[in-house]
Amino acid sequence: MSARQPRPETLERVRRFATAYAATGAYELNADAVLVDTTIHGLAANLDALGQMYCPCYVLPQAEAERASLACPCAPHHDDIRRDGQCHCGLFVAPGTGVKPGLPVLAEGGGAPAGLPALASRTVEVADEDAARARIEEERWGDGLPAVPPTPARVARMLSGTTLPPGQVVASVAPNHAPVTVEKIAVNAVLAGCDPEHLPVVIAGVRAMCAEPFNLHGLAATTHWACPLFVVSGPIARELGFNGGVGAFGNGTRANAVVGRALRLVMMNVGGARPGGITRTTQGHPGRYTYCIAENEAESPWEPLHVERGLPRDCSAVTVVAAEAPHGLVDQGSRTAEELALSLGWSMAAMWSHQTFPVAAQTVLAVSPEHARVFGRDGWSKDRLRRVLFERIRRPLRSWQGPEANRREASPLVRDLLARGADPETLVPKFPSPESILVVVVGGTAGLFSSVLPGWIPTSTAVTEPIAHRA
Amino acid sequence: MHDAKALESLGIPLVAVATTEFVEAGRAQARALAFEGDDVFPVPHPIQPLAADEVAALARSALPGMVARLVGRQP
Repeated sequence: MSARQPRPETLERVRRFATAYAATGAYELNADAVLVDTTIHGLAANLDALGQMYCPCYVLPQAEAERASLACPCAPHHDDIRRDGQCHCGLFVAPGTGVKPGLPVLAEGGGAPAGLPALASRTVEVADEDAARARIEEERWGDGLPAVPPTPARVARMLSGTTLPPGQVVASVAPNHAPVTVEKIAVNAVLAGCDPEHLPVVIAGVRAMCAEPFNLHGLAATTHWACPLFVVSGPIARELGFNGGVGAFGNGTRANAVVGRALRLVMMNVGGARPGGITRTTQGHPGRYTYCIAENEAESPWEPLHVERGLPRDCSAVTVVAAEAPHGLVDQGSRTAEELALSLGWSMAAMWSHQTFPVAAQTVLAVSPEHARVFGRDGWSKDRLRRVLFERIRRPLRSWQGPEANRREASPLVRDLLARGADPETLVPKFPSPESILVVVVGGTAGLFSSVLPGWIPTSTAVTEPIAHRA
Repeated sequence: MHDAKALESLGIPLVAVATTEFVEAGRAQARALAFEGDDVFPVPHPIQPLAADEVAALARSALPGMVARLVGRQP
């Protein structure tokens, strides 16, 4: 261990790091304060002397690449903690055996009531419910709306909604890439107002949004409007009262409201996606409070989304897709599926911008039941609808050749075609492929009103995750 | 900032660059990663509407400051 005295600001930086890392909930800080202090001094001394927080308890190899794996949190620490209950230095220890920083549970005077299962989260004592709400507001653990204080009893009750162990790491949440445990998801679910039966849906949503193809990291930071939309499908949607019918994107349904809100709070409290911090959306949209719907499977002429995406019909699932707010598509006159498809398609042609042919990302087409009935009556499959939208919603290249055209805003494909002197009659599609269009049936049974939810960028694609029912 | 931290851990000196509008986001991410060495190097905002030659000009004008930042932090 280094005998050099680190600079005070380096010490403070390493202390913040250790607390922040333990706050993710995967591990805790060692309860031995002297050991923690000594290790932090060693890390800080190495940071000052060597430019990295190399573990002070290893003999450092000469080769830089080998040394890199020993910068805290060192590469072997997961295996060490699993095997020995602590990392090599003993700074981080297994949940339940140390000190617990991070999003806490709140207890009214006297700590957690006796008889409850031990939680890995630290406990913050507050005078009463009002003080708890004030603390949530002050620490920015909420979303601006009043939140339910996560008391030990409420978190313990929430955990009864899953058979997974509280300490199990479910995923790594971007942008901080912080590991999130079942318990930390439960704390956020309480904050959001969930009941225990909602917890498996929230856990599946966390898995889905943290899967690599979804690119939560970029989405959490983008200046664009898009944010994760969660679509619940399968039997659980009906059992838990998720709304895919009247006003599904709106207010008034508990399951939609609290599950979407819990997922947003996980993004903020665990992932670090705080508006004005790492999250830079220029305008945002109301779905950033909660954005969760069900499919209206009863009114759909097509198979449910999760079946289309390869899961068994009797399975329940959450599909996450990056989406702007719904934009209305009105058509009260079309009588045939073809008329309706082209009408909806040309209304969708202005999304992103009227110049953007093709859009780069996936698009959600939320078809209302009355519109879905037209497609069903004419025997159109989702595939046929998608193919017609891809093949027919096209503009000729000459649209970008007039003096009034703003070619700087044209897509890379259009700019390339223009640069190559392609035939002016070349047709440029609005959608990059038929598969880029996700079709779901959503809404009440009255109203010839569908909507389009424009997507984000091609490096984010929808992910479907099965929901593990509680046994 | 994740990339910057990873590269620094390999001993590769670097300067993290952002347009002025994103400096605070860079700092927030650096704080979360306990990676608060040099501040994010600011360049003028915005970049999005610039043509390739305009971006190249901006990069050329920023380069001396970035090099000075790198050289200045040698031990």
